[in-house]
Amino acid sequence: MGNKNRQIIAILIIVFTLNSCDKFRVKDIFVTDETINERFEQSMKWNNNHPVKNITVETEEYSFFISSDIHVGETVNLTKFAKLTNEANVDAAIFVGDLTLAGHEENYKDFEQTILKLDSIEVFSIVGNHDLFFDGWKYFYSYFGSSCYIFTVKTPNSKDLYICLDTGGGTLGDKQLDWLKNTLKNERNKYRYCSILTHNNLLRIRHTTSTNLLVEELQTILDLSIKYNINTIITGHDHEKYIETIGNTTHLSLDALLDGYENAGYLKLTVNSNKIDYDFIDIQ
Amino acid sequence: MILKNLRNIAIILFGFCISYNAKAQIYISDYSDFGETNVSEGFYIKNSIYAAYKNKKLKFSTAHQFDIKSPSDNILTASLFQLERDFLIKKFSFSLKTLYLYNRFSELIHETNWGFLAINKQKHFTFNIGTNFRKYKITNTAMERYNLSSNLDIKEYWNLMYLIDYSLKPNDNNWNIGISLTNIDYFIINQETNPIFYLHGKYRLKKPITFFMETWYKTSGNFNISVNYFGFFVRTGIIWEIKTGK
Repeated sequence: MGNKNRQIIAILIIVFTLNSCDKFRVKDIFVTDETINERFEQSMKWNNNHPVKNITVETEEYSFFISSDIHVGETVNLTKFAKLTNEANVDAAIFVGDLTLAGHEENYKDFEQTILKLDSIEVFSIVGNHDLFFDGWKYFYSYFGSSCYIFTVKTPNSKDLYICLDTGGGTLGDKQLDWLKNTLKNERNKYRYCSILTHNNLLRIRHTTSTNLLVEELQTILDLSIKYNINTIITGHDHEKYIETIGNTTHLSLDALLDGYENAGYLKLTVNSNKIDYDFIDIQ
Repeated sequence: MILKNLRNIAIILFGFCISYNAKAQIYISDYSDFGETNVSEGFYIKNSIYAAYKNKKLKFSTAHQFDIKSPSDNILTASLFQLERDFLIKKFSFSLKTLYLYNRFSELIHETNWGFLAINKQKHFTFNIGTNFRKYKITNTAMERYNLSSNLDIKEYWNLMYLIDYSLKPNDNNWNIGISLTNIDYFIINQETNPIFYLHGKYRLKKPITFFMETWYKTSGNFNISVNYFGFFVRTGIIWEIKTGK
């Protein structure tokens, strides 16, 4: 048997062996189990059975703690984040994706158990690419429900709109994009501020191996941002923070909250009648 | 205004090139794209014209894209200008290309790209590698309509451009089929972590006309290891080669 044939057989044996392990499937490296449109349909079904969350605050100023790329696995930083969130008495905690390392159920369980320590605070979670690995969507859906939804904040004199989007697969998909356009067209002018939260960062500020949305999709979102005066777009995925502003839209990308990451941190978003303020805070 | 000036420059350069009395080649191509993507709001059609003038080692080309059916408010949606020079060092031949791409994908914001490519063509393979600098700039229309006066642009530097192409037959054969992996098309330069595969074929119908066809399959999330379908289109067109001079 020639060398080449032996190499091919060796590769096939490795692939077959790995594929028979329930923690690893070759297919999962390349394509998600559910498409973005399938996840969107399920999210809309969830939304129809669950009313839009509205946070009512008593003052004109309110704040959120927002984190991304926690990659549970380990939960040291997430536990610290939960403690700091309780102490700061913010109005919500938001997780913009990559909650888990590889989409396994035990990762989701550990994440959920840790964030249960957040007392009486609204929690919003968004799916990231890692959360979809190895059939992870079904666990995200069972623990957190929709990956595409809105929530609102009502102050004594104003109300603000927050739109959470699923970019776990590197695209909004045509159905979610239509939903976003309709939401902006029908709802935007009823609100003072409008922010979008999603996992995949839109702007490519530095060279990394992680993927952004295709340029055609970025062009569409930039156009919508100007047309509908989107105030902030908050993302993760890149693991390193950046702030870029174009027109009236500020793009904020977060440091990862990942355990062991040198610059692990989160974002404090403070909103009042004059402006939206942001502080990047180190978790260490 | 910018587009008008660029068009005038292109016409002057092209006129100069074809008036120069030397053995030269002119290529004119017209092609159409039919397809759909996650952002195209259904089926789209675009038509593009391409013209190139090659004189000895220097080649100037320009291309312009027109949206026949698409969500864009603009009809002329992109213009491309390229200057390429051939080199031969010892037995290694390659060319260097500089490009300027102006993309009017929206009424409110435009994109410009400057880029540089090194190109090596072999018998069956073609390799392109280079970099581009991208800028998104808010238009005057958007500034007036939405009262914007600051933070009017955003830049991206040193994006890697690449193409690896394999053709079944030698590149100059009368007919050919092949496959390419790239992040660049005439009017779209995607980010380096969004590669796209396409199949291509050509057939020289009758000298100097060549018919060609490409099928592009776009996916998103490749380097996220979480891949989704993004779009598919078919491109079909003809190339007309004209030789001038002696």
